[in-house]
Amino acid sequence: MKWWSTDKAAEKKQTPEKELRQHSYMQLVRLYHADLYRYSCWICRSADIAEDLVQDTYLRAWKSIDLLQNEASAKAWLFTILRNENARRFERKQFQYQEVEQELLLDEHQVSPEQLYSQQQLLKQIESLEPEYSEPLILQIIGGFSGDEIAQLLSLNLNTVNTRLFRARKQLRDLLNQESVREQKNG
Amino acid sequence: MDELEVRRRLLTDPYHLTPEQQQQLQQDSDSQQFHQDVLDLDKQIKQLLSPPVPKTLENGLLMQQHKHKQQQQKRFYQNLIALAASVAFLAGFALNWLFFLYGSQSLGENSLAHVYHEEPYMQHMTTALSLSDVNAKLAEFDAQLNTSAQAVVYANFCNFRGTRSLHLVVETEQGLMTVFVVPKENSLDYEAEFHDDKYQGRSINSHKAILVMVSDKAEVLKQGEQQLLNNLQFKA
Repeated sequence: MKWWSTDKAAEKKQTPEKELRQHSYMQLVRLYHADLYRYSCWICRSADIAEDLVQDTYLRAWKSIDLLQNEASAKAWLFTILRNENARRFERKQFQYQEVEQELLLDEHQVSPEQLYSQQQLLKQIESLEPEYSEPLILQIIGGFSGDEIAQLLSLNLNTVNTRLFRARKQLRDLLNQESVREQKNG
Repeated sequence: MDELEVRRRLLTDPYHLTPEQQQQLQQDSDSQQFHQDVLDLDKQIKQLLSPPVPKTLENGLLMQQHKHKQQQQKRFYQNLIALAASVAFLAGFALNWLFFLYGSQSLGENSLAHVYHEEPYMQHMTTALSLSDVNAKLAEFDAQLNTSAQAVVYANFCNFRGTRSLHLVVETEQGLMTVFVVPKENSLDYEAEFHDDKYQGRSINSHKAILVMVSDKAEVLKQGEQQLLNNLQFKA
């Protein structure tokens, strides 16, 4: 008889559910943490807060991972949690809002001054959109969600979402066109 | 589908195209160009809004779950220990209480305790009680004294571990003897003979009740017992 009984191995085998849960958590982290972080940066405009928010999101996700039944909806589920956590953040404390840290969002080292300028212009245009327009647009571009998923995330109906997506892109294009026209005139 | 509608749909969602849209795109290079423009702008936006993800984030998130799990485990064990401590405490308390209430004690020990309790007053017990008074109390045990040959100087009910008993002090020629009349249904362990440094005692199991006699002198006990058995009578 082996006195160094391999209890631990047996113990692990006894709880495949636990292992499964842990595995799916790891999957959630690997697949979606980057997109969540980007979205988080966008909605909090601060890298530090964004990181905290992502951490809070995953902690909550871990606690209620049993509620996640469909792997396919995992990403939308995580985004929903993140949005809720963000709302909670504002409930918790009156936030000193917020010199928008535009620079944060620009990766200055990899671009030329001209590109940086046009990026800043673009960012300004996006931020000049009404939040109700920019919100679904960002979810579509960064989150890669379909119209239906966005509708669920924002608790809107599909038609409204589609209209807002259309208007967001249209306004953005118009603004950019105006800008280029102005530049041409000035130039 | 007119051109306006084509563009509206491309602006709404350039990523999920219907077969109808795809067919239309293939036929119309302007639309293709427009689709590409939309995608390019989206790409720019995506690049713009993609700050580098901190390299530590992924591991941090994985560790966080691990830590949380450990904390939960720790909390579980802490709770377990707290629970065990509470149970141990309560058990100890309850056991003490039980021993205090129902701890096994023998007839002799209990009798001696009663004797010691009355000891300080025994010297003052000099007046004999009347036979009828004593018999009134004995009647509760279906017993009676036939004569007042022995002077009863003290007669009172007492509590033998929850059993109502009679505590008598009888005067004999050599000294005082304590007699207990205890019903047979009691919670004490029967002891025929017992003693400590000062007192000695004997119990007699008669057919109605137990008689316990205690005295500090052996002769008193011997003589007293004889007299008592002659004098005391149980009703049939």
